[in-house]
Amino acid sequence: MIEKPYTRGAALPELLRQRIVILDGAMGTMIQRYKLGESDYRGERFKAHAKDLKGNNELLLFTRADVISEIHDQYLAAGADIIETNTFGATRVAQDDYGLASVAREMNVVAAQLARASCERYATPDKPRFAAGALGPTPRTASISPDVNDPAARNVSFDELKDSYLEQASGLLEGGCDLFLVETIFDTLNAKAAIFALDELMESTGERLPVIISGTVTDASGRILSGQTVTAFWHSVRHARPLAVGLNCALGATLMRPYIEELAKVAGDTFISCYPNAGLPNPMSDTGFDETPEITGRLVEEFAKSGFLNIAGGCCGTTPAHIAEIAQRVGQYRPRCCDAAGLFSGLKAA
Amino acid sequence: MHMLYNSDSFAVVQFEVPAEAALPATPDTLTRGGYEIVDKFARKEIFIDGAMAQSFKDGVAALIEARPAGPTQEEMDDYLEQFASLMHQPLVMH
Repeated sequence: MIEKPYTRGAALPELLRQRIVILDGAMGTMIQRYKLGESDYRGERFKAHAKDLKGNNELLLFTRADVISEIHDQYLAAGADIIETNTFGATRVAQDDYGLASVAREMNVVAAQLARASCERYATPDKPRFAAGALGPTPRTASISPDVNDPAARNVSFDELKDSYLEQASGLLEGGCDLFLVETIFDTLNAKAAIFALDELMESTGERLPVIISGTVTDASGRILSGQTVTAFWHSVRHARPLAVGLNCALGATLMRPYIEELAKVAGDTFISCYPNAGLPNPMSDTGFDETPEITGRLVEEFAKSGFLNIAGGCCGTTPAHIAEIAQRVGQYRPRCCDAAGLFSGLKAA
Repeated sequence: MHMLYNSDSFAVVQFEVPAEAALPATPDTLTRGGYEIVDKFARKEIFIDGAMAQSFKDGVAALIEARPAGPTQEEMDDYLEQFASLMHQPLVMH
């Protein structure tokens, strides 16, 4: 089967064969360091908005764009090849909680423009930089009842999620992102809605961007919240032919290890990404999480040494110092081998 | 089952399992129950047990130790907010 070549981010597959590519770290953790107040979030534009807005980090794209750009720049200076747009919650579904669904698309356009501008400042011919349009899980889930008394209850439908993701992805594409990152997936049906939306967008625009799909395992059973093991999760999303599949967030690298190892074994025809939290929450730590850059760096280095990784970065609690440490440590190892022939390579051999 | 904390943003409930019903202790797990942390605004929650519950308990103890009068609501909420990224279970507030 002949696939259309990537129209953006086309250099990524070759780069991933050459070395482990570095993704940035936490956006929320870095925003917390600025100790912003309600007035920072509101700015002039949302001064009279009826609901509290502190904590709506995506709103800072409009009201404190300087902060978001500065954080992007710090991660790029630390060695990140890929930075994520500040759009984890920039969907209509998520912004509706703040009464701001109407600005969701605009958020994504601005977020991609800011990330791309930072990439332009740091890119060199030897080290291109990429802006990944981040699609978060949304606060609502298509597979799980929110009401213990009614297992069939849902507070969102597949079509609502798909439309919300389509609007988000369309904004990110317009703003100039190089790839898409569907991340922190705890409900596979939500991820499928995002994948469906991306397919629809690419079909209608003629663009084809690389897609990374990243799930999250938050308990010791090794399953994502909607019940799948990481192997089952991979088989549920592999039809999307992602550039990479991986895990992020969750309980930190130590507890993530068996699951990233499992994924690296079963997902033979794609690249593997991993960006864990800096351990568990810790109120006495500067970042709010347990692990120092040295600890997270050492743990992620062990994954690289074991041959599990193609993309490495950080999630909650990680900072530019964590990313610099990860970049320095994993840089000494070859990337995991991937069968670039694709999804149906086994059939060709037969 | 005890409500340990209740602010405008978060609630924390402790679940205790009677000793005779608890599983045998292992070095990295608690023998009893755990904690349910609820983010009221996001309408999500997480139940933590074992090593993670112990880590949570240690964090609260550290906050108390740092301020003899007890942590302020803002300090507690800031700490609980760090668990928000782990909370995915949706819930309806009746």
